Amino acid sequence: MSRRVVVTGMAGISPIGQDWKTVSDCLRAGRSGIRRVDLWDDVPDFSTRLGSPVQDFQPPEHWPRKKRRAMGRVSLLSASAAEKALDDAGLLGDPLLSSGRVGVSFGSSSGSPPAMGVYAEKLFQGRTLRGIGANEYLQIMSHTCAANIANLFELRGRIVSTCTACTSGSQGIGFAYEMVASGHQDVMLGGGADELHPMVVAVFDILFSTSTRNDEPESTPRPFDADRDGLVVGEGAGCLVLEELEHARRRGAHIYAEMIGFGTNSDGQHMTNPDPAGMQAVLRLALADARLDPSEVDYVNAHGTATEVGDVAESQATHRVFGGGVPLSSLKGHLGHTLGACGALEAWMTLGMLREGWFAPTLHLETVDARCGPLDYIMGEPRELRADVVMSNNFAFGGVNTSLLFRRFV
Amino acid sequence: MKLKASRETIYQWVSDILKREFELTDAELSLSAHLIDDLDLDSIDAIDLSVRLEEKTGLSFKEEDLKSIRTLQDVVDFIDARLA
Repeated sequence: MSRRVVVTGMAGISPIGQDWKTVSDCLRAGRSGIRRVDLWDDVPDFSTRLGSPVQDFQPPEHWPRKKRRAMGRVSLLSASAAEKALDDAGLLGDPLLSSGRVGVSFGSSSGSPPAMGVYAEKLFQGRTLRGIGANEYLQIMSHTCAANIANLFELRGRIVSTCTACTSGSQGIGFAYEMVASGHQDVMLGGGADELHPMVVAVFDILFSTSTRNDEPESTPRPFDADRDGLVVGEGAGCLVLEELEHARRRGAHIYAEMIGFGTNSDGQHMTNPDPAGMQAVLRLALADARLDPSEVDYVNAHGTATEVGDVAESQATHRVFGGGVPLSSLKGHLGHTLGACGALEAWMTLGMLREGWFAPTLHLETVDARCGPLDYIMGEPRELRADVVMSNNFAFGGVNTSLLFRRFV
Repeated sequence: MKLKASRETIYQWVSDILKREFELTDAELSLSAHLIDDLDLDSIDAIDLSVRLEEKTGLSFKEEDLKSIRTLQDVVDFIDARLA
């Protein structure tokens, strides 16, 4: 059985805003969230001094202490995005949430690094358990975001933890879609998150993947650009409410879009080097799931992190599936790489742009790298485009690939 | 080296931790306050309270110690007896 799945709520906490109006203004105006940050100024080894933090984030004060205590920043961001999405769907406080028919599919690259630091300092370094409380693990555990969302909103359905680094958010949405389509759940919260921390930035700095244009945060990262020099690590959380179509209709829910396809696979080749064959295959999986021909896709939201190998592999894979005609942009020039959040934030923003009939350009893309596949890169100005079908792609360390497909709902 | 502290000082330590860690107020705190029934603490909070008290006093709390403690008075008595 495959049921139709629609998006009835969506929200995000991002480096360029925490509501659609603010975010869309930044996307249109070419304002990014990239800035110099001082979180690791005391560590001289870092090559990058840039990050893309969420500004002015305050967890809601109405959450009870016992609900908050197991949340590190990554879970606070997640739960806040989930609350906004539920509110948007008109489901906040609804008894439906505790019916067992609502679950959550959510992930992050890791649990909250500061709580890991407590274990590292006390146990690894100090060889003691003294000073380690009960909540550190609850903030570290791989399903901390999904579990905290379920605990906060008293969900009694499935918990799916999609902790696959940069595809955490897109897999969160993809598996949520499958839960609803298969009939296992009627409503799922799907998304992902990550928090900006020196540990996470170090991962990419060690691999020489970070942008080091430290004195010009206003011109980096530059996805697909010949002069790109790497990614900028960001943070945030995004969440979609995915609901069975008739269920949504019965309660008179506003429907943003229909989710029509999901593909995920693995390269099975290399932990960090992307494989264009695996990427190409995942785009085709999503198209097959939606029973679509490539020519029916009107816009592709690319992963496009601004790393040398990633951009080339992705754009060539995309070209092999679509040819040169499909309009494409990456939002990472605006957002930086929000890691576990990116799939969810980019899906949210892609659906926002779909509704309004325009698509943002890849910020800072001026001259496409000749090694990148020849595609219709949206550059400079937003593109007015009444699209029906949009695709959002993400790729992660471990050779994980995802592709989401949505259709305008009429 | 053992700390020396009056019962008033111990009460102050405990109440400072309760206010800082568990968002309680002076109005809610008294020697007779029951940690679970009056202050709404649970098993996770009991662990975290003991961790903070261990840091403050240098004492160690065993599982049976935690089970014997019901009220703020019990906490003060426990610490007072072991620091004496």
